[in-house]
Amino acid sequence: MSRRRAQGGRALALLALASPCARAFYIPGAFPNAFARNVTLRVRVNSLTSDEAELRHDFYSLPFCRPPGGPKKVAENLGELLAGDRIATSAYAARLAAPGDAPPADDPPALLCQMRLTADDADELRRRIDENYRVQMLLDTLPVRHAADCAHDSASHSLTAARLTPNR
Amino acid sequence: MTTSELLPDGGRGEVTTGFPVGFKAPAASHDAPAHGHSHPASEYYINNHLTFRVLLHRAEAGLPRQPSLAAAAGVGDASVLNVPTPHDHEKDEDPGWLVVGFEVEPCSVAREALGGLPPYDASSDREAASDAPRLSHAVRCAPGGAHARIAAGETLAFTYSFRFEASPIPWNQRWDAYLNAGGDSEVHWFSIFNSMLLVLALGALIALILARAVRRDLLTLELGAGLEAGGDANSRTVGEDAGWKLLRSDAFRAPEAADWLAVGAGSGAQVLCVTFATAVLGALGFASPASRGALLTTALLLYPLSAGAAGYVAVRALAWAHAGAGPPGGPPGAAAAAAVAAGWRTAALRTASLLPGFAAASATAVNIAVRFSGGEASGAVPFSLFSALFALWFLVSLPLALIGGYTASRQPPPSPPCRCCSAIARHVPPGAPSLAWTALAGGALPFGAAFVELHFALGALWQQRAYYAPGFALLALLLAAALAAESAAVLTYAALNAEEHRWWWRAFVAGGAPALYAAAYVTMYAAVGPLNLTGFAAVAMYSLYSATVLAAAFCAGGALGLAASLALVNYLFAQSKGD
Repeated sequence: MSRRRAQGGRALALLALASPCARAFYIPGAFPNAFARNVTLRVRVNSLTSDEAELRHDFYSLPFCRPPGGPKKVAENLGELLAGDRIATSAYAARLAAPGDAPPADDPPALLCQMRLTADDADELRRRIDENYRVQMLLDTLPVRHAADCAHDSASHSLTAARLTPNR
Repeated sequence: MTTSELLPDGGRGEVTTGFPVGFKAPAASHDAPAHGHSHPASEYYINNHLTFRVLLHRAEAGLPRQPSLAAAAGVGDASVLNVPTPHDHEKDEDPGWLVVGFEVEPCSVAREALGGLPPYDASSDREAASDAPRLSHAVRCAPGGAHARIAAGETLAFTYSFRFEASPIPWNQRWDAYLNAGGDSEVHWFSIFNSMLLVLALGALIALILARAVRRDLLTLELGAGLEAGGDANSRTVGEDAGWKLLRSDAFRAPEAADWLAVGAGSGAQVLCVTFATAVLGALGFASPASRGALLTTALLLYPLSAGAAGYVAVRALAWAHAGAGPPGGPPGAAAAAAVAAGWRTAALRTASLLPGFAAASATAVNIAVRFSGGEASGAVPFSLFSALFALWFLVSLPLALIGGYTASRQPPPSPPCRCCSAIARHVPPGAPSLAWTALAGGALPFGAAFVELHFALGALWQQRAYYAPGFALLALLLAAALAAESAAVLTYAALNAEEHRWWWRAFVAGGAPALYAAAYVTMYAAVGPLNLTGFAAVAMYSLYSATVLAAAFCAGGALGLAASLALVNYLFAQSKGD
């Protein structure tokens, strides 16, 4: 009798898979996403982090540019929510240009938005800078890394003007 | 340039993600003070210009590609779920590109240095346009240049550019740069391995000593070599003066607050189930850095599901605690059965509520601390999440704990090898090691096995350092658990030899003592270690969350210690039943 049950179960599973409504999907980040030329890559933002003031703040709590139509929250699992991740869409995007046909080095940058700071905005920004908050961005689930971090000891947090390196 | 070339070569550079919001610098002379205010000593500048560098690796032919998915779903989002469709491969030959690196060079550039800016329009304040207009010329990001100042009324322009570069890093190694803890990661693994071997050797040695001592005791018993009752009570030489043999009628005396001991044991069992299940899943590779929060989610979902085990263990512990009561010759286990029948519901409910209650109280206190220090922050637990967790607890934990407790209450009462004869407990001579010493001794070795992993875990939790060595974590946990059980058993044996028959709580404390060591370590990590917490809310968050986890660890270790000691005591008195 158990053999029949197993066969019945198998048949049911096959039927379910063969049904046109069945769609399998890969967990984001578990399978490579291949992008063709000119596909728009959109950067996502996460909440701000600080190793000193451990609280996470929403990216859009600071006066940053909002994408057209407003930022949209991205669905997260329980663990991410508890850890303070608040992933949302951002206005930073670009069309993928294959490395072979890259634009010349002095290609002018794009303007995202302009804004005027209110007194509250300025206070908030100053507070976050004092607490060494960092902006977290994601592209294809990969977090952004600060190029200068790789060469400098991250123990000293204040980035003075002298440490900015010119574009290569 | 590739990501691997940017790795620090032997320096202390810790890999962290993201870039600073801005910086504070001495005010440059050409920054005119506003409205006649006195010239400030330093100014704040915001990183408003971002140069992204995306590292690309050629995809192999045959991978499902984004455009067809984008066309199907109508979006061009880069992180949308990848649905493989079979007819992708036949489309044009270009297999596409994979993103294997994402870096940024942030810059603060004053408005004057950005050429070709349209005039500021208040109606589109901080709204990005769908077509990003280009500036007139490239932005020079020089250290001495004018920076974008942060001041009320200042107009800021946010600009960015993307560079796409080829990279030899294959897709399955794209996370290596994030996980590499500096150039000396090999040294880390070697030192972990080293300390584990050392601890393992010590543990084996202690087990050997205990086994010999017990064997000698039992041999002495068999040969009929009696022991003067008034013998050298102060001597604690293992095996020579086996004081435990005098405790036949007291060893299974019910401990004080036996119902709380049962609750502790049950909570510990639950924590052990969750910890080891999560560690095993992590070691099997289910916790890749790409799937953020997967491990925490797993642990959070497994916790209520293992409440059944918690209830069961709690009620069984209660039965064992009362198993020795009652006169010898009387009905075996009557007292235990009575205690269980009367108390299993309370024990199960308390077990289900103890640690989750502690966690809920901590989270609430942290939320209050965050509100109090003037910030609505997403680090504290939002109410919706709180309610979801509460619902999970109420609908899953509580019923399962009661079911587990009921199942245990239906089990026949345990039969210990000896029972308590008299109502008055035997007098305990002075000379037994104090509880403090027991904790000190019991916690040392298991903590030694796991403290390196603790260091990495703290870095991952509080400093966004990536930690991806789940295999080592599992190994360290197994070793720590084995050593905690062993230490507790040894210390129980030592206490019994000193005629201290109140071994139940002692065993629990000895097993849970590594958590006390961990508490000291966690405190030192924040006080004098790499972590530098500022603000009341941050300190509150750190201490309360750490306290919750350490309480859970204490219960887990205690449950192990209690179980091991119970097994040892059972063995000793069962073997010596002959006389």
